[in-house]
Amino acid sequence: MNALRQVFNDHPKAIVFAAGALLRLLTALLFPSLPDLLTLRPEISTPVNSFRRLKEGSFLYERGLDPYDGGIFHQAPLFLSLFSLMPDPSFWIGRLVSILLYTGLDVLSADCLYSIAESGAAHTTRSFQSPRKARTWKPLSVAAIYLFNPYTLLACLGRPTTVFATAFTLLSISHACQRQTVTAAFALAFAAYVSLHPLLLLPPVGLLCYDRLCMDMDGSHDSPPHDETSFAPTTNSTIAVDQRAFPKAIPFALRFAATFAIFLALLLGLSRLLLPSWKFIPSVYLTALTLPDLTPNPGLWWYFFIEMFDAFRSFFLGVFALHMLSYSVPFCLRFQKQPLTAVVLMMGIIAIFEPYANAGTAGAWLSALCLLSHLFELSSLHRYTFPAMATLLYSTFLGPAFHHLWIYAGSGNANFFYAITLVWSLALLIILTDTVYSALRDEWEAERPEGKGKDVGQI
Amino acid sequence: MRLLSLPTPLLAAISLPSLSDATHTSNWAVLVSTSRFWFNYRHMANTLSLYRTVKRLGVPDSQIILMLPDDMACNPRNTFSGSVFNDKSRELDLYDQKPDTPTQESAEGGDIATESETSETTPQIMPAGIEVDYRGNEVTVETFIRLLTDRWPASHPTSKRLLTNSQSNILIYMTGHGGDSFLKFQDAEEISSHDLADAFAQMHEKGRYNELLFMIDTCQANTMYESFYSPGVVGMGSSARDQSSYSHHADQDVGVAVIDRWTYYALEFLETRLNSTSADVRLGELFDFMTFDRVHSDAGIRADLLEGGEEAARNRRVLDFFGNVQGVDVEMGDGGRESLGDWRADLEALRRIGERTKREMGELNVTVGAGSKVSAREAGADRSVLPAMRVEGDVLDMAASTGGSGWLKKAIGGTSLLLLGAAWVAGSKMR
Repeated sequence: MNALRQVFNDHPKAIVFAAGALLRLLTALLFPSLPDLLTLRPEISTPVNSFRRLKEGSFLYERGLDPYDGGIFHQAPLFLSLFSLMPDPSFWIGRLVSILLYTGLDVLSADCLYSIAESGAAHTTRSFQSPRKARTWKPLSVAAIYLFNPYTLLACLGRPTTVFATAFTLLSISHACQRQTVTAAFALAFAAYVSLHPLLLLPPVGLLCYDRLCMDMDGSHDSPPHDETSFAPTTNSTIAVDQRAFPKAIPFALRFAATFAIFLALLLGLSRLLLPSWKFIPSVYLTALTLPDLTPNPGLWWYFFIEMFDAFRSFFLGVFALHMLSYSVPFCLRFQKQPLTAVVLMMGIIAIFEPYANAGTAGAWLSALCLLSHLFELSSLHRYTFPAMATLLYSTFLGPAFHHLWIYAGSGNANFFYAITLVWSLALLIILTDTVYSALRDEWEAERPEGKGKDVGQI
Repeated sequence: MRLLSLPTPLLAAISLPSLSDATHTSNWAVLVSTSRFWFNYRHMANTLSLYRTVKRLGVPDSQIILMLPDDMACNPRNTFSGSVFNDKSRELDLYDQKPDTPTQESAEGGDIATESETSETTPQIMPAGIEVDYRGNEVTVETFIRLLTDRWPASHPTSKRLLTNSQSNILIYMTGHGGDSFLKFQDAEEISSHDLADAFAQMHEKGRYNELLFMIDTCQANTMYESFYSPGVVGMGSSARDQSSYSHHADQDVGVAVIDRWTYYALEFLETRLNSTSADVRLGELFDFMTFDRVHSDAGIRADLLEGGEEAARNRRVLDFFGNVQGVDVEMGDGGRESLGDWRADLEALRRIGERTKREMGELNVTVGAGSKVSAREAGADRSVLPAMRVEGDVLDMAASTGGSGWLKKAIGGTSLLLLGAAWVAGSKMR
């Protein structure tokens, strides 16, 4: 036992990551029918990220047909070229290779979370230092939460392509924390190329990048991962900071957006070279906006639009999309002192309100939420963490059951499943709003330490 | 010898002496059971037994309207699924598809429905199969009254209509649960004796029957025919007012009663007395057979609506209502020879038609085998049903593997991914 503990203490990160990867591989090997079963579940596979549709699309692609001609395939074209290099997933070797690939993505995501947590961007920013800095979890804990999260495990086995989007989003955030603007933009461009919604993360990630650049400029370094300093907010250096050395905000924003746009254009152009026409653009990107496919999923859109009259359809599509869009810039404005919080909250908004929501994205977000672990004290004391967790578990178990009752047993109807998706979204939203509260309160308590522990009420 | 192989009703027609005073030209039967559910098995068995008897005596399915509101044969509670019995010996399956073969006469009181063979008659072959015209939820009061009065929309099929005329004799048999002047249909509704009387009145006005024998086996059955007022209707009921009609016996393995008393004895009479149709059986004998000792209730008749009253009713032949006996005029004598000559000429014409048809068929066979025009047409037809793949050359064979172009695609894919990787590395070098 002591030897094991010794090994763990020597190489904690390697052990945890290896355990996570091994868990996925073992599950795939011990339950060989599980991956294919999961690709059928609507909670994991939606019309825009389903692995089965990817197989269908790559089948057509390999035979020279345009996979976007039919209304089945709505995924990014580079996946076709990627999966054409891999063996056919119908056989066990192909399945294993695809699971290996997704395991690699999961390890990458965990590594990104590790580096984001390690950089301390959550609690130490240019103009703010959280009074609860000492309460942040170890970076390894955050990575472990991601690796051992059942949602991400099931997503890895079910292999939806939004795992790529999640991985590249986290990669983008991690590079932004390390001040590498170009690769951050590139990774975000790839994430937006895969699934449209990371586009909404452009303002927060840009803000984060700018913030980290400024922090670097003023000569301070990243705060050590587990700082034992006191609660009192201190400036990072005693030297006066020359703010003229900071990069200018607007040009930086334009540069960042331009880099993003160039990389996105590069990706789209490369896709066009692979395919006979531009048909993939409406198929991949307009699907999320016009919702032609209303297959049930854990999101909130499908039920509405099944019963929508055609005359009102475009109006409500606009309303729903605008709703999601409308959080992006306000989060940046309100959380400009702690941009990573803005990024994580925006990820949450996307996970809850995207048209084809799925459990994998939501699970990845819940893991990313642990980056803001210094806020957990606040939310657990003052807010509704336990009810939210309980509701989350409740909807996780009842969702598939009601879906089965509706579709297969025929003894339920759509309302059963829709109710569970409402409950699921409610649980996630409660967690989100509690995080907003905690972040804001933390910011407030940085200015007014005497307010700590007091109840906040509306005047 | 050839005469004996003719169907029995024709035998009866030739052998019966005073056939010319049969005033009807067709026989119809309307057999209605009105009860549903497993425990009313006996009502279904009653009706099916009557159906069998009436068919045996020559009424074709096209002239029988059988109304069964529930399915006993395929009921999940039926141990003998596919069979309906009317006797605990289970020797006769009323639901059988096989044509009857004559069996031995057994002990008295046992198998009432088996045919007994006597030396004078030929075995009677009952045509196989049960044809139910109204089943399940179609058996309602409305349907029954519409049937009697022939008030249907034009879409209603002819096989489900009572296509009688003023020369038709109709036998109407009803069984089920009834009461004082009403009969219950399917546990949901009732028909009253007045409704029935009015329906018969409509039938009389429209000239839809010559004479009508109304048989009813329910509790307080006699009350049902008391309201009749149309001429030519004879009623027979199983029990008087405030009297119940009883079931005869139950089969322990089927689990329910399988036949009612009144119907049991009616069938016994019909099977034993009417199997040889040379017997000139009269309705009066049937009436008298239903004694209190047998039926355990006061079976009654109503005959005052018939011309000549009860005496005329008692004198009617049972076969007038139960069998398909028609008044046939056989031309004899001088007229007969001419008719024979006509008959011969008809036969000759038929033979010529047959030969011509055969010749044409032979030509057709020859042309199909040889003619090039035909074969070309056939080949063209053959071509049109071939898979499109062979006709058009550029349709891809989807089942085959990708072939050479697949490698190109893989190469392009790999190159594009490498390109992206290079772009990533370049980007990471920049700040």
